[in-house]
Amino acid sequence: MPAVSKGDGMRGLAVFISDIRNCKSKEAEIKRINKELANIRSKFKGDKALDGYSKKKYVCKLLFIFLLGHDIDFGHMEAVNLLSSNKYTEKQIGYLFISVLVNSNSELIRLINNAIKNDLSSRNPTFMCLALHCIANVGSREMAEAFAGEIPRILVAGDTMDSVKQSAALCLLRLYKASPDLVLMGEWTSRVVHLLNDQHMGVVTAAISLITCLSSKNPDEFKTCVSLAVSRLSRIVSSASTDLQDYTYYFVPAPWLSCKLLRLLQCYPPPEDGAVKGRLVECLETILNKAQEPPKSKKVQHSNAKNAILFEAISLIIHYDSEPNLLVRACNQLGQFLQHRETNLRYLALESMCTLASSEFSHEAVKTHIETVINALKTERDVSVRQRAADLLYAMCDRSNAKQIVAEMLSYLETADYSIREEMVLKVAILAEKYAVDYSWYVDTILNLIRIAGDYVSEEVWYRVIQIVINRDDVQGYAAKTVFEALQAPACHENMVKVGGYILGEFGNLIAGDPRSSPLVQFNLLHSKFHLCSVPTRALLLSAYIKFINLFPETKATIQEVLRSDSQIRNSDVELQQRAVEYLKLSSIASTDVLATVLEEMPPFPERESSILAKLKKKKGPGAVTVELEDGKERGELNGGGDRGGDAAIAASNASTPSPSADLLGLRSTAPVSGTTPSAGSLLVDVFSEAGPSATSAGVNDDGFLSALHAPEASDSPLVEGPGDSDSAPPTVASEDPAPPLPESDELLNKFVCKNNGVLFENQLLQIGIKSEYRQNLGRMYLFYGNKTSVQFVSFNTTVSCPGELQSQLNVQTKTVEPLVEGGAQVQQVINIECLTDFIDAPLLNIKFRYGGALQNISLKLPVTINKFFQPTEMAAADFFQRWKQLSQPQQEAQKIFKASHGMDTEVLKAKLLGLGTALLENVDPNPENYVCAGVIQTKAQQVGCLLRLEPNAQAQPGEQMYRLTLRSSKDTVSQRVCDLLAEQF
Amino acid sequence: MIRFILIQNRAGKTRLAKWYMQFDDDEKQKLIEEVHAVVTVRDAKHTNFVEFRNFKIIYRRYAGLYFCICVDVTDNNLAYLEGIHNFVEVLNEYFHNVCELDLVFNFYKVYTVVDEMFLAGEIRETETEESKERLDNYRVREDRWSETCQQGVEQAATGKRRVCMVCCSKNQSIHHSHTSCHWTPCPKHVHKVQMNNYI
Repeated sequence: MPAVSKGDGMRGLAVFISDIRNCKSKEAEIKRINKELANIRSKFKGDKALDGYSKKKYVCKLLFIFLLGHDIDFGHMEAVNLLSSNKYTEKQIGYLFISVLVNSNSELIRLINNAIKNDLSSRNPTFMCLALHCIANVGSREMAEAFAGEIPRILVAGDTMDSVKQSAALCLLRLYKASPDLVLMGEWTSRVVHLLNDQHMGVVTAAISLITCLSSKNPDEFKTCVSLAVSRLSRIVSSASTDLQDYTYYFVPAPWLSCKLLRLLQCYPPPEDGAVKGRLVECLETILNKAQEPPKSKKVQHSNAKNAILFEAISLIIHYDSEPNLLVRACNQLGQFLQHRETNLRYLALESMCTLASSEFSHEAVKTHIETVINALKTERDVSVRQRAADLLYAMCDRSNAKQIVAEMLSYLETADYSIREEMVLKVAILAEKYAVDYSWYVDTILNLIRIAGDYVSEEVWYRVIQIVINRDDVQGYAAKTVFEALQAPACHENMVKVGGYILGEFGNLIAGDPRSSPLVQFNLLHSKFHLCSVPTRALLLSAYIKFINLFPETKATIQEVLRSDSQIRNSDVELQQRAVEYLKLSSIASTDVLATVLEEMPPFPERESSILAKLKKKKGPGAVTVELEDGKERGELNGGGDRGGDAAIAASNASTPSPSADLLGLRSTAPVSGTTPSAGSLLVDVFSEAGPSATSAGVNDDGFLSALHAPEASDSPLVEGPGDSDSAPPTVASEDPAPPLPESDELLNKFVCKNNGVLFENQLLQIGIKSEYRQNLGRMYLFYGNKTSVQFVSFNTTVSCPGELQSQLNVQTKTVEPLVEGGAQVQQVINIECLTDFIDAPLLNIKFRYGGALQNISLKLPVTINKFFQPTEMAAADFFQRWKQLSQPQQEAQKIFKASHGMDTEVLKAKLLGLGTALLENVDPNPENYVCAGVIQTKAQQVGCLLRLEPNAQAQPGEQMYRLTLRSSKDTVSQRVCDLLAEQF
Repeated sequence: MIRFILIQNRAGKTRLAKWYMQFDDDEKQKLIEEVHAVVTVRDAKHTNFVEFRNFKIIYRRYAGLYFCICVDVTDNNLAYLEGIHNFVEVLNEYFHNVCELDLVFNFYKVYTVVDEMFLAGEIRETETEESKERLDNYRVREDRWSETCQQGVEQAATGKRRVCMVCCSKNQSIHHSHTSCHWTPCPKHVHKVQMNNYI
């Protein structure tokens, strides 16, 4: 009988598929499918029991229909039935249907798991594989729960067939990735590692993927795999191409296994054992040597397989970064590939060399290939190859070749693919800055950059050149001259106008001696560009003009004329109009002295990390730019003047000299771009250095604090009581209802159960910080509202309210705050709190203000919780147990058992319990693992004694760790509330 | 690890989609379209690798079919490129000169071959003889043929009658002879390209 490859088919299925293929239109197809669905449905519902073959055929048809993109809502049961068939093809179709149409229908899952269980215990390797493949394909949590215990046993059992072991290893990998908490290797670890020694190469190939994944997660437990992997690798590498007959692929012995072994070794540092290391180095050398041997076959498969191993070996060499000899050899090998006729190899060589360039051992060797790489940048047809070439040039750049590389990148930019231009621009800007020896070169480069690729020059790049020019007085004259020349081009990019306007406004005087660039010529040149520019640029130019008036009194009349013209002073844009009016006024009334002070030269910018670098990092993700960070450190050549955009510097200079010149230069408009959260976040930072000097000093003057608290209460002070009576609140706001509390306000509340200070809330506009102190049943809370924007908040109003019965439980008094919060400013509000009796809810804090006309309405829960009024109580073990027994009524106790959501670090736990306000009692609980605390909650009405016990099961696996928390107090509501609050903390 | 495997023809019809991470159906459709758009515009001078979202695609074209494997960016390009080729060789052995239509009509078998070679997003087996043997083994287990099929094969074997494997119509005149396959395409379907020529 000849091969019967097609004989095993299902004719009905083939007919159906042909029919579908013959359908001329989508409608015809749908019609045919509906007909088939009706047929199958009637067959499934019919009285006559279907035989296995028919069932298989219909399920397979359903699957085909599903794969065509149609929904299938029946047939699952029939598919599950197929699983229990004894015939391979029926079982296979059943499993396939389940794998493709996974349905978390709980009933079916149970049936499916049952069938899988039967197959796993059938000892029929084919059925076992089918079942394992199904688990690996579905990988659901239910399956992990059912089989995570069983599969490791199958994997390491001595009598398991090789093919089953292969499937089991990868099946386990899938479950481990999906539900790591359910796969416990523990006792199996060493036997799994020893699969690396398995006789069957297929088993090793599959198992090594599992081992690599486990090693990367728990390197210590699996570290014995290193020596095993090395010896396995060594056996493969030194074997002749015919030794591993079955696993030789186009004359290359076991290429995939070799790659996986080399990949596994990259989870670890170089082996410490000298013998192992020697053997590994030998392997790596052999692999490098083989690359030089003549190929055993002309087929691309042969060279691909060989080079797959070579590239993986080079990755390992780079990962170790400790063998100069190997690094240089790797580099030379890659150098050969740079000119290979296979595009794939050129691409991979460029990519791999990029990482080599960052190693101090091979950096020089990489540099020798500069010409080839430049050539690749110019001539490669595939843009992804060109991009790799650009990456490599960037990585290999240093002082010695910076000028050449920057020049080449600039010239490439003129024709570069649009998709990579922006990144190229950033790279050029960074290299130019980092390796600038003379700054005239730097200025030239950046101006060229703007000239060539102006559209792709982001704000950061031109801010940066200005920062550098301002900070370095040796380059200012040259910069002024160069921008002046650049501006003479008939069409110059707007970014050029911005740089030109700024620099001439500051340093135009340095070139004014030359009659060709006299003040008036400069002004006319700038003004000739004015009308073609966008509003922000025009605003900047207006600022440059007023600076001109200061620098060159002779231009005053001309410029005033310009400012006075209708197109300026009546400009429809408010910003431009305002500038024109203000500058005109300033220039007419201020004396020269005042003018000179106000329009003084910009002070140097503080030195920070380059904003361009930050931008590139954001673009490429971390890691992409580690090279130059190290370089920067090493060569110490990062230029001055770095800052996250100009605005922080401006704010700083604003603060020191209240001169309006600080924001005259239009950089103010950059605030939204560069005003990133870190700088805004620093607004409150010093206030909240927890347990810092400010916090302790506040704690010291206890007495004064307490008396101050009492005083207003006794004398019915001018403090505004409650929100409603506040008549100073602007009427517009009062008419608007407070917003409902933010959904996350409960979570925010929980953050403060165990601490008193911190940031309560933050969004793009506003940051609210809290500092609070409690004594007895009294508390005082300081709220700090920080305006993160540069625009003032108006009608700023905050109210604190106690909803429902909380009104009778807490007495809260607030002082009103100023209705105006300046941009960047912070206002403080004091809230006094008195606890009358125990309570559950938290007071609500509502904040309303207008930002740019829009009403902001935010409601939060004020983190005042019952535990704040704890007084710690120290007591001995005997006392504790006596009291514990006294509080033995069921309603006095509250208990919770819950999963640990953080680690069980002892110090952290202790800190949290202390933060709760109770005393942490040592040597009370017989089990040292447990924590026992005691405290008294002080309210005006009564004192509530409270005992606490927290029992962790620290020995459990991560993910299984649980706590039992027990609270006993003389009042049931208190037990319950404290228990609830605390349960959220661990 | 492998994120997904796609086999598509030049028109963008999917012949196999195997997913190793969770995507919802809309996302899958989007991925399929994006991969097609990215891969079909490239020519022989381009590399076999394309950056794709946060991953990369290693692909290779055989006749009118694109075999695409989406893997992590740190994965070994050439190893997966040859992984594709190895896979195609196994398919070719299994189907005796595989062509696109084999994948259409025997889609359920293709899944078996895939699971044999790739599992949980990793390479499971690389040995073609071993795979083939095991797959053949399965075939022997084919325990029931439909009667017509059986008949058709027998008749085909004796050369009495040819049955077109594409449309299953009988009594077609012999137009195109297939070395190892006794099911012959009818004239209407001979256009199917032998991928074998491209391996």
